[in-house]
Formats: sequence, structure tokens, C-alpha cells
Amino acid sequence: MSSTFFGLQIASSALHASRTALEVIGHNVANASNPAYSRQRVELVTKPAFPHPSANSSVGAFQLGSGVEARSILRMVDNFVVDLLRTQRNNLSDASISGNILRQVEGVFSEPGESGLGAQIGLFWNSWEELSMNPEDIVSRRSLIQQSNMMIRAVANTGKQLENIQQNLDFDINNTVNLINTLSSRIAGLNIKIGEISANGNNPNDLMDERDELINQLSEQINVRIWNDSNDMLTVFVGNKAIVRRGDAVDLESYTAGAHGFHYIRWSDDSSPISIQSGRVNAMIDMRDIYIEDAKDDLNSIVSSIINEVNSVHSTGLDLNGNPVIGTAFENFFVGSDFNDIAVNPALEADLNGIAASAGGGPGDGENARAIAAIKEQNIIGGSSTVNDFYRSLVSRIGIDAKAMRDEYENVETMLYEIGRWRDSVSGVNLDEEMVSMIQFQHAYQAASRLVRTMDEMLATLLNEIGTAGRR
Amino acid sequence: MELRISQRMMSEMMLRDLTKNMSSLSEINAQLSSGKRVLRPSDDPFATHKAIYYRVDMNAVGQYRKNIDGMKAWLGLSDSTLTSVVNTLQDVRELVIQGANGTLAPEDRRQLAVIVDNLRESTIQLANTKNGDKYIFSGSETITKPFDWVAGNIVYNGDSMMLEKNIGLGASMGINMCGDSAFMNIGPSSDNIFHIIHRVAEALRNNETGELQGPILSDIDSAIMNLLEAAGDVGARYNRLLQMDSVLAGLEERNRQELSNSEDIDLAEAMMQQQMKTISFQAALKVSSQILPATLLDYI
Repeated sequence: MSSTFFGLQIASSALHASRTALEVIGHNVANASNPAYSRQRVELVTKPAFPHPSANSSVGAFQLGSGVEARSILRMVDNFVVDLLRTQRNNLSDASISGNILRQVEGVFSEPGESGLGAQIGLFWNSWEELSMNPEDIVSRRSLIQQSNMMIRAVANTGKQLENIQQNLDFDINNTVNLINTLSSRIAGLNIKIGEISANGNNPNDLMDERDELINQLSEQINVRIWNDSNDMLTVFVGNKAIVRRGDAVDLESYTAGAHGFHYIRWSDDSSPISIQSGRVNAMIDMRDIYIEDAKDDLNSIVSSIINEVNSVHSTGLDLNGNPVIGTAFENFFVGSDFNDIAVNPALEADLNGIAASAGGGPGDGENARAIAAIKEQNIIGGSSTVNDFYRSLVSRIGIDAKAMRDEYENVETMLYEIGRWRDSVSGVNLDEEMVSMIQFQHAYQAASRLVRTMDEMLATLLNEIGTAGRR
Repeated sequence: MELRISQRMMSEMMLRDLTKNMSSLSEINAQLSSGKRVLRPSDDPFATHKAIYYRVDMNAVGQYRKNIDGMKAWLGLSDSTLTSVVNTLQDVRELVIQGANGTLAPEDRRQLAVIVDNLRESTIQLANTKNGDKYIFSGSETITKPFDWVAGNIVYNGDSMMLEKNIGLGASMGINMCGDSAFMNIGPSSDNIFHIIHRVAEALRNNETGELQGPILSDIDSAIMNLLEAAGDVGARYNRLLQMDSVLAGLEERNRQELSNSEDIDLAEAMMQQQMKTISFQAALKVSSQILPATLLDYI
């Protein structure tokens, strides 16, 4: 025989369950725009039934249900999708930073256009032609010096801008170490809290969302692998070493090395090298140490070939006064050896007559200037290509790479978008769905309230209708 | 599989499509406002490769045409100067024939001698012709006056260097006619033009009609022949320049065309694309405005 008030107990469990469900719906709706949020759902189970005793059975005539219970609040996630999403965010940030840097690098060359280095070098050869036409004119000598300086400015500018991009990347790499350390220690902190709650048999749903988002952010910077530990704690590996294990994080540190004194990253506990294979940091290091370094080397091949060839022909000539320039202050047309220090020989700037346009004749002889102008057609770079051909393939190579990286970025972005849709179809909040659930639980709550009233009326009937027996 | 869709996802999709539309619209707008199809190498690496080549080649061809202009002036002046010297010599020849006439009085011959002296002066002036501030018959000694009349004979101060100038890729041409080959060492007596004229004047002054009829006349004829050859040479070079210039003009036009093909926009096509992209952007905006606000909330 159940208690007189047993019905009220059932109604109370229903009221409680419905209210919990409505609260979770409220939480879902409140977080509908939070991209890191995974929707939650109340898991409702029936409470254990009581055996109803009878005259001829000691076990009971039937099992009487005792109501409903909100057992737990579930977090709707698919770990497979979470992993995919993390990997793809790693790829995307790699492609994104590479694409941006390549865009900056190709911008440095101002091609195709009049102000590009290619046009400036072409005009430099032209002014030697002009000098060979009018070697006795001070005007053509002056304009040769002016055009040479314009070409030098274009070359130096291009080189310096490439170096600036390298410097910015280096600064950024150094800064990223702090970001990574902050992320890993926050992940370790969350691991501890999640472990405590989980050990008590509860679901730390919101903390797990927060931790997933932090791991995603970490994954954008470097390549990480995740290992599931006990009590919902995670171990995060970079290469073969754990950057976060349960409640402990290992810091990274930067150190300087190499000819340029650039920053590199290693583990702070044993100073061993960290294995960075992909992600933003990887792309930045590759761009700084390989790509831009190569472009600078190519630019310097152009600069040093021009300096050497022009000087070697110039030194064989005669100045306007008919004196051989070899062994004099006028011997070399250029001084310097790369884009940082190339300049017109100051002695020639001071005395334009020192320019060796002549190969042996009088003031009207422009043979040496003509020989210098002819360098443009000679394979002076590595013995296999002209300055212009070499420069053109440098610029178009950067263009091809920038285009390929742009395509790559778009591909990865589309994939990430599709995976994001997939994740959202599992974990995203649909407001219509929440509204329908809300109405459903609202009605359940109303029905349970009605049950309380019905029970109340029933008990009132019983108490009021049985007269005054027992009254004193 | 039916995909669950969240409101956040829908906004994100809309935003992504709008952004894509907008960036492709801004790209075509940038092309239209700059007139360039290729704004950076990655827009079309192959076209960039071509554009750099054609721009440099166009500038180089422009320089060769500028060279040719300068050379045309120089050779043209040489040609007309040599022709004037020939005319002067023919005047001298007339006077020689006139002076050889036995009926002429000695004082008439002396008068002719004065005229011949003047003609010698003007021949020297012609041989010292300058193009701008450069002597055209000095060889490479362009700032030195080539011919000086000193003590009854001429002194040549120039050299015999041919001044080669580029008129195209790997093509060059001499610009000048050296004074020593045009005016010096002429005829059987290996004399120079100015001294030959001087000899005419002396023979007239001294009534040497025999001299006038014989060796002098043949020297003058040799000089005229020599000058005509020189003028012919200069004229032939001038003609070759004109030919080269028209070749280069064609090349320059081709370069300009190719450069434009590689980097400029096709205006009509770009305008049409811009229209289409504007329309699709506006359509995306309109659809977003209709779909995004709708939820069940509007109906319960």
C-alpha cells in the first residue's frame, strides 16, 4: 500500500524535472550565438518503481512507478568531428599566414608596372646606350648617374622591405611563445577542474567546451595530438612530448640563433628542440628562414652580377680626358656588393668626366658605354641567364606560389566550413527546436501542477467529508 | 542524411556568401578603376612574366629609336655638307676651265684667284661643320676642330675612328665620315682638297695655264669623285637607318600591344562582369534580409 501523499511525490518529481529541462533550454538559448558552445540536453529517466503489495503475493501485485528524475545533463558532441575540426584549423592557419606573407612579398616587387625593379634595370641599360650616343655630353653622363641611383633605390627598397617582413615574422614568432604558454597553462588548469568534477560523477560540460576551444587555439599555432586520460582529463602532445599532461603544462621558450640572430623555439625544461611540423608558427618560420631568405639571395645574385660585370667592363675604359681608369679612383662604376650597400662610386658622382665611356678613342668614342649596355644581353647570372630573365622568373615564381597558396587557403577554408557545419549539426543550438522543447516541458510542468491540485482536492474531500469523528 | 541547422550556422553561411560576393565585387572594381587586369604577380603569373619582358623590351626599342633619331640628324648633316663641298668644287672646276682659256688677261686671272681663295675658305668652314657642339668630320675627336689652315696648307686634328652606335638588338652602325678619308690624300698627287684649291689659286695668280689644264683638273675630278663616294656611303647608311626605324616602330607597336594584352583589362567584359557581380551581391543581400529574421518565435 502506497502512502496517501505518494501522488504528490510523483507530481513534485515531474515539476522538478520539467523545471530542470527548461533551465537547460534557457542555457542553450542563451549560448545560441557562442561558437564554442555545445548544446546540452537533460537525460530524463524514470525513478525506481515500488512493489505494490497484495493479499496473495509477498512481492507485490504490480510495480508502481514513482515519477521522473533528471539524471544528468548531456553535452552533444562528436569527438571525431572535434578532432577533424582541430586538424583543419591547424592547416588553415598555416595556409592563411603563408598566403598573407606571400602577398606581401609579391607586393614588394611592384610588378607588373613602371615602378617595378624590372623596368628600372631596363632604364639603367638604356642610359648606357644614351651615353654611348653622346659620350662627350655632360647631360648624358649626369642622367646615367641619376638613373643608376634610381635603380639602386629600387633594389635597396625591395631588399629592405623583404628584410622588414622577416623582422616582423621574427617578432611575431617570439611573441607566440607567450601565447602558447598561456594557452597550455589554461588547458592544464581546466584539466584539474574537469578532473575534480568528473571524479564526483558529474558532467563539466561548459568547462569541456572551454577546453576544446583553447586546444583549438593552440592547434592553430602548432601541431598537437590529443590523448584522453582518466576523469575526462586530456594530455596534449607536440611531437612526442606532452605540452600538457593532466594538471601540468611545460613552458616553451625562445632563443636566438643563426647569422641573423632570429628567434627559435624549444622546450624550457630541458632545452631540447620542439618538433614543429605545421600550423601558424611553422609557416612563419618557413617563410622567414627559407622563402624570404631565398628571395633575398636571388635579389643579391642580380645585384652582385650587375656590380661585377659593369665594373669589370668599366675598368677597361678611358675617361673623357682619354686616361685609362684602371688603377684610378674612377676604376669601378659601382661600390658595394649587395642590395644593402650598392652605390655609385662617389668619385664618379663628384667628377662625371671620370665615367669611362671610351674604349680608346677621343671624346666622341662611346665604345665602352656600348659594351656595358651589351651586358643586358649576356648570361651573367650563373652563366645561364640574363638579368632580365632571372628577375622575371623570380617574380613569376613568387606569383605562382602566392596563387597556389591562395587556392590552398580556399580549399582548406571550404573543408573547414563543411566540417564546421557538421560539428554544428551535432552541437549547434537550433532555436526552433529549443522553442518546441520549451513548449513541451511547459505543458509537462502545467500538467504536473494540475496533478498537485487534483491530489489536494482529493485529500480535501477525504478530510472534509468524513464528519466529526475523532474531533475533540 | 538530414542536417540539423542552427541559427548561428545560418548567419555564418549568409555572412560567408556575402563576404565572398563582396570581395569578388571589390576585385573587379579595383581592376576597373586601375584599368589593369593584373595588379600583382599572383593574379596571373604567366602574364606577369610576359609583361615584364615586353615593358623592358618596349623601353629598349624606344631607346634604339631615340638613337636612330640622333644618328639621322648626324648623317643627314654629313650628307648635305658633303654635297655642298662637291658643289663648291664644281664651282672651282668651272673657274679652272675659265682660267685656262688663253684669251684671258693675267689681271682677270688674279681676280679669279681671289674668288678661288674665298671658295677654299668656305670649303674649310664646311669641313669644320658641327652637329650641335660636335664636329662631324673629326672622327672620335668630336670636340676638336678638325681642319686648320696653317702656313699655306691644312692640318688635320681629328682621327680616323668610326663611331659605332646601336640601332637595335645586336645591330650597330657607324655614325660618322672621318675628315681624313673624305678630304685628304686624294688623286694621283695624294693631295688634300683644300691644298688642291689653293694650288688653283696660285696657278691663276701666276698665269700657269699649263698647270691649270693638266694635273690640277684631274686632281679636282678625283676629289669630286671621292666626295661623291663618301656622300653615297653616308646616304646608304641613312637609308638603312630609315629601314631599321620602321622595323623598330613595328616592334614597338607589337610590344605595346602584347604588354596591353598581358596586363590590361578588356573593358567591355570587365564592365559586364561588374554588373553581374553587383546583381548577385544585391540578390544575396535581399535573400539574407528575408531569411535571417525568421524563427518559430514569430508564430508562437
